Amino acid sequence: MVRRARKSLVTPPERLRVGPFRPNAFSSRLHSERVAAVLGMALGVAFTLCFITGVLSHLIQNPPGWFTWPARPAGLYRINQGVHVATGIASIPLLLAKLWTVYPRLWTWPPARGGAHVVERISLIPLVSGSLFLLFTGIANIGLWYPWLFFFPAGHYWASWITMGALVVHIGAKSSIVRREVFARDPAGLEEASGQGLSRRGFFGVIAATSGLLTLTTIGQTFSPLNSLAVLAPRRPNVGPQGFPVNKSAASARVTDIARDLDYRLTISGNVERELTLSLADLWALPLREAVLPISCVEGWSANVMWRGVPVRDLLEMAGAAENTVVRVESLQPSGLYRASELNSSHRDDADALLALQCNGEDLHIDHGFPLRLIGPNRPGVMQTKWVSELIVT
Amino acid sequence: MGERADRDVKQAEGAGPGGRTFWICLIAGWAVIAYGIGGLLLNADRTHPEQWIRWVVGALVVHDLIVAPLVFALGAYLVARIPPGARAATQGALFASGVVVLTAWPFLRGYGLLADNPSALPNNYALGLAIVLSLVWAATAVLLTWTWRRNRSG
Repeated sequence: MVRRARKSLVTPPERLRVGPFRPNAFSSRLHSERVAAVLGMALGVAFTLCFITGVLSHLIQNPPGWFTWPARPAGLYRINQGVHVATGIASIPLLLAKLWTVYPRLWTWPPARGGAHVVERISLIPLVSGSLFLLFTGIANIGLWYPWLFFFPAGHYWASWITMGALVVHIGAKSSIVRREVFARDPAGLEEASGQGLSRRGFFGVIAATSGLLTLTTIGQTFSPLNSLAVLAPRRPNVGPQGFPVNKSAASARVTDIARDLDYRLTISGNVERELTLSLADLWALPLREAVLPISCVEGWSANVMWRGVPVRDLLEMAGAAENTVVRVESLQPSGLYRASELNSSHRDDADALLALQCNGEDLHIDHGFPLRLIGPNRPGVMQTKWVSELIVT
Repeated sequence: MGERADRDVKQAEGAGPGGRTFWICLIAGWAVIAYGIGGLLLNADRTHPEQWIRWVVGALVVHDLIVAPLVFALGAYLVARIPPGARAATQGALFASGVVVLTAWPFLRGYGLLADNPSALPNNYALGLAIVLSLVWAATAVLLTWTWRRNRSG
């Protein structure tokens, strides 16, 4: 019985050898192990870079006890997110080319040769579906398109762990092929199967060129020298009120009226010697400081802006705030996951951490956080709280 | 002359994967996968696993059973109709065009446009795509002309 079952697996019934199961269903010479191995290595590097930068961004926004994100260097978060999004975009041609190359394997017959092969193939399900999911949701997110019900950062983040786990399994299963096809082969002794159409080298060139083209036409959203080429970027660093983009408008945060209220007051409370309540006139009367700091969105765009405002540490000193405390910055925004943020001791003590009244020489536009917004070095945009109403020292 | 030609990905490889590296990576990898699944389920209020799984499995099904077969069908259709000398360049141009259009599609369609935020998706993406695709096909035409002239003179 077992022997008969095994035999029917090894020698497939002829009547099933149709469509993709036909022996010559996929004729291109590019369906080769060498092509798959080279593309796999490139994808492995790209996904690892995406994963490291993504996990770092997650830790910055949800810091566990052992993790402290420093306020300096000021532009590090901008680079981290720029790399994350650019690597993800550049991976799209790589992933699609890789899946095309190995697609015939989906239809190999017999479907599995032994237990190890079964678990290896099952592990491909989280790898392939996770990879497609990560790149699709990433692109949709930078285009502010949310056709699903889950919270994007959470869905994308946990999918990345599942995908990277599956990638580890895949690397273990394919390491001998990569060794044989990429490292151990004598390059002079290579012979490519003859055929028409793209050669192996041509295919690699086309994939690299496509990745390059996507990068050149989008990277300007964070790397402003290439802004003029960013025809496919979802943001332009110089487009928006007062010359830079907005992620959450005052209208969508439902603060349009309260932010313009003449009775606006900033309060400083919590672990302080004296609570402070300051009007806008009080804030303007304090010594102001100017700083050029990037606003760096989690979604990969960034822009340099000249800010002017009251240093947070001056206000904390006025209130007699306890040292080495975390400061919670609250917004007028009535609800939403990003209505408040925290300043750890590195950020609260940085001279350039400001409650800004102005940007680029004008009073803040309401979409940029009028009357008062937090801006500090080396912080994700979502943690640069707008429409600030309260500092709570904890 | 080389020692052998490229191995086809469909060639059987004995009993499949094995060895110490494979089993260590399998256990380590599935531990990481389990961590991811755990995080997904523990944060169900944000991840909505029943929604999430639809998009994950959906991505696989749409790619493997719809997009890929269409791409292979298109390839088979074109191979029979494009002269052998022009195949490589056309293949390359089609790959680049297809991937660029697919990537820019959500921007082109403006799915994420917000009435109260004109700084989102500010470009004319139809124009941007037209420029990029013109460049791709212009480069392809130059390459084809050059190859054709070289072949004729050589």
